Amino acid sequence: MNKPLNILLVEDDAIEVMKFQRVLLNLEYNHTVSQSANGEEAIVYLNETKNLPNIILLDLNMSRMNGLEFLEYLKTHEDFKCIPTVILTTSSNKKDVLECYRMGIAGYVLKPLKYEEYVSCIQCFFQYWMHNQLVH
Amino acid sequence: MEAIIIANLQRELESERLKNKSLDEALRIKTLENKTLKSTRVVIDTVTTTDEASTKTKGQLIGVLDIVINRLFGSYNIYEIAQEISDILSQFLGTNDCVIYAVYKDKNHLEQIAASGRKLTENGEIINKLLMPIGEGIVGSVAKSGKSELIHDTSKDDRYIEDIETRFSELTVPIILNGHVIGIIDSEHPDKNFFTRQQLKTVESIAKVAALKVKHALDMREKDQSDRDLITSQKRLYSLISGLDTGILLEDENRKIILTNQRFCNFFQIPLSPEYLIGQDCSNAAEQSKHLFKNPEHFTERIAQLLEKREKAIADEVVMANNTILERDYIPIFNDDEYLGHLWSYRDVTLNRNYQKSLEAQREKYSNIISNMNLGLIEVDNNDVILMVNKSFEQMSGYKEYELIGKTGADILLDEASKKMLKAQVDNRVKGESNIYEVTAKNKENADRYWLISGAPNYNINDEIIGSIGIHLDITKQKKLEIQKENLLEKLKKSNEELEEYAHIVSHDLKSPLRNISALANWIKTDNLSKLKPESIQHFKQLELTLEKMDTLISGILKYASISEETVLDHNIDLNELLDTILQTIHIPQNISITIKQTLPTIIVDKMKVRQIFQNLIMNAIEHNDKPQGIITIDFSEQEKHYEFSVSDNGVGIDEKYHKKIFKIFNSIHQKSHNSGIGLSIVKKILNIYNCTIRIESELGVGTTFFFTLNK
Repeated sequence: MNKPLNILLVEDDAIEVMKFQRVLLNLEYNHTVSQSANGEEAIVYLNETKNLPNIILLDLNMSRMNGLEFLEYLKTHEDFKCIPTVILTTSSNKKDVLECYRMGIAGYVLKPLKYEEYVSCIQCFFQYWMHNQLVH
Repeated sequence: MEAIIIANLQRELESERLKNKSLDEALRIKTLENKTLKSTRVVIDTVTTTDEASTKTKGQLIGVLDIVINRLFGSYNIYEIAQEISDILSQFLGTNDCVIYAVYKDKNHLEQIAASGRKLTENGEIINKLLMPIGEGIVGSVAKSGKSELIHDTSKDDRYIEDIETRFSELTVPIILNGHVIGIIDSEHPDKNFFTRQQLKTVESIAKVAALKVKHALDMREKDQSDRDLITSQKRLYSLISGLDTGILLEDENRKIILTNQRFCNFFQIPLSPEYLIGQDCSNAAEQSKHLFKNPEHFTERIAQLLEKREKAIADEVVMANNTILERDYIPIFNDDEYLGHLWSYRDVTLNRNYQKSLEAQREKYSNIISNMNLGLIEVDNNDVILMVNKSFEQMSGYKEYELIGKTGADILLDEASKKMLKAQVDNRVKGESNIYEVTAKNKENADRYWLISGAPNYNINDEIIGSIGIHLDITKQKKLEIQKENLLEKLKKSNEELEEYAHIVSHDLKSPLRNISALANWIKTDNLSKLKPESIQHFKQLELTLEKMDTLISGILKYASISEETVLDHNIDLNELLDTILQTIHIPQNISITIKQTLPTIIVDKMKVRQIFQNLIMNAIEHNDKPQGIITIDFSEQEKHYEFSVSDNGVGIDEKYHKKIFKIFNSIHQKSHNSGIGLSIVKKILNIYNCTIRIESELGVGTTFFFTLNK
């Protein structure tokens, strides 16, 4: 079950991106990760790429276009609305959780404080999605 | 009532006048009667002089007539008269048979009303009392023709009808009055050729006298009847007048009293009975009684004036010295322009006047209240046309009364939305409902005013709705405050939301660097693990703990900021279930036992908030336990309006000087890694929202109990 995934990580924090990459590297996954720093960039990417991602990992608090605004675009777009989107954020704001699920997210993951916990969290994430049937 | 009685009185007076007329008539008849007597004598004289019979017969005749005249004129009874005639004639004619018939034209027959001799029983009743159709038999023929008949042999006359036996001679004479046959004198004799022409003439004369007599009797009977009527009517009049509540004085043209009553005597303090006053002269009466009046001179002057003018004067008000108020009518009585006297009537209207006065005073009072009260009053008809406004309404609307009356209220004063609303309210009012509502009105300066209107339907005396009365209270000030308050609340809500949002963003922005520091520290540690000194590795551990504490702190602040006033009232929360859930989710060290002393109540609360309270207090108790065997007890007691819950531990205890401080944010007394110092602040904040209290009992080193209340 080592089907590589094509992942789009929408995250504006460079260290967060580094964390994700390092986990991927350490666990020796051969998944492809594309990265956009905010919603606007992600939209440009989605419209230009020939390989639509299998999964989108989305941070909520971002500059320029935040996660919710991007999600709104995504879920109204015929080509993109079926891409499972998982929120990866530090915000436990109930309102955000509710709003995201309402818009049709596939999961909501809180970033743990400790790096070790973060690693195991991401590991679980991949294990889960590798077992899923995906549209793209 | 009084007016009706007066009208009746006048009618009675009129009929009395008519009765007097008929008395005159009776008098005239009496005179006529005397004339008749005289003319009878003339008749007799004529009879006796024209017919040269024997002196004996003449003497006989005069004797009979005298008897007839003398007897007859004493009686008014027609039957008696007939009987007398019958008796006298049968004797005079020497037949022992004389029957008197009465002619009833309406019934078209004759009836025997008197007879003599063998036609009578011992008791004087008529035997074989015949009823004879007019025109039949000899009697009937005479009744029809009005001409006397002398028959010498009835056997030769086929009209003859036998009565009790056959008689051959018959003398039949009509009694004629005013050209009508009113009776028949009929005499018979068994022999043929018995009656003479002389006898016929005599009987005819007697018939004339009898006719006059009957007329007289009828007239007298009529007079008797009218006399009786007059007396009855007078009696009725007197009793009516004497019982009247109105004082009555009827004077004739010479100011002599014709009639008065007790009430009049009472008013004028006359110590005599009304009957006694009849006939008394009133010329000086006003002068004598003027002292009874408040303004004596005016009283006499006015009476003199009335008597002089002889014009009807109704409802003159006169005030007596004792403050009794009388209303006086003066009614002159005329008969075809002939002045016959006058009628005074006095009514006591003191009570009426006083009622009127107090009514007037009441009216005055209420209209004062209405015009001066601080509420705008407006009266409209069924088409919302303004009929009346008070001063306050003028002030409220800025319009003057004359600018409003006759206009449609809604058109001048209301905006479109309020007009629509008003229409609905008016529709209800037409159904008879009172209602209260708010409108937005425009005053004369076109400024918005808010009015609270209480409207009620207005009825006329027939209970029909004729419009409505609205009481207006200007609530512009209050309304503006209310709107201001609403705006403020809206703003506050918005800023609260912004704040919460802000808290989330801040916490995210604060937490992200923490995560990054944690990650970076971890990488440095793992990448250089072989090169690091043991102290450095220890420092990394401390670094991690500090990060954790920072993270808890940020979470705590966020939680504290997120406690909103908005509460979700879950229904009936079973606190036993809630506590079970809490104890399953939190980490309880092995050495600590938690006991719930009794079954907890079920209350209506916001589940999440109450859970926060218990959770924070229990975690607090666990955290601050320094005993080898930690004991935490949860208990409650029921009060009148609330429950008081307690969470007690046998932990470190808190010095009394800190008891107030511990509920303040960031005031953790004990330095321990996991304690953000916010837990108790959150508990206190939640309880504040519910207007509930929390207190602490604690002894340093022995333990702490927190008591908090929750409303039932």
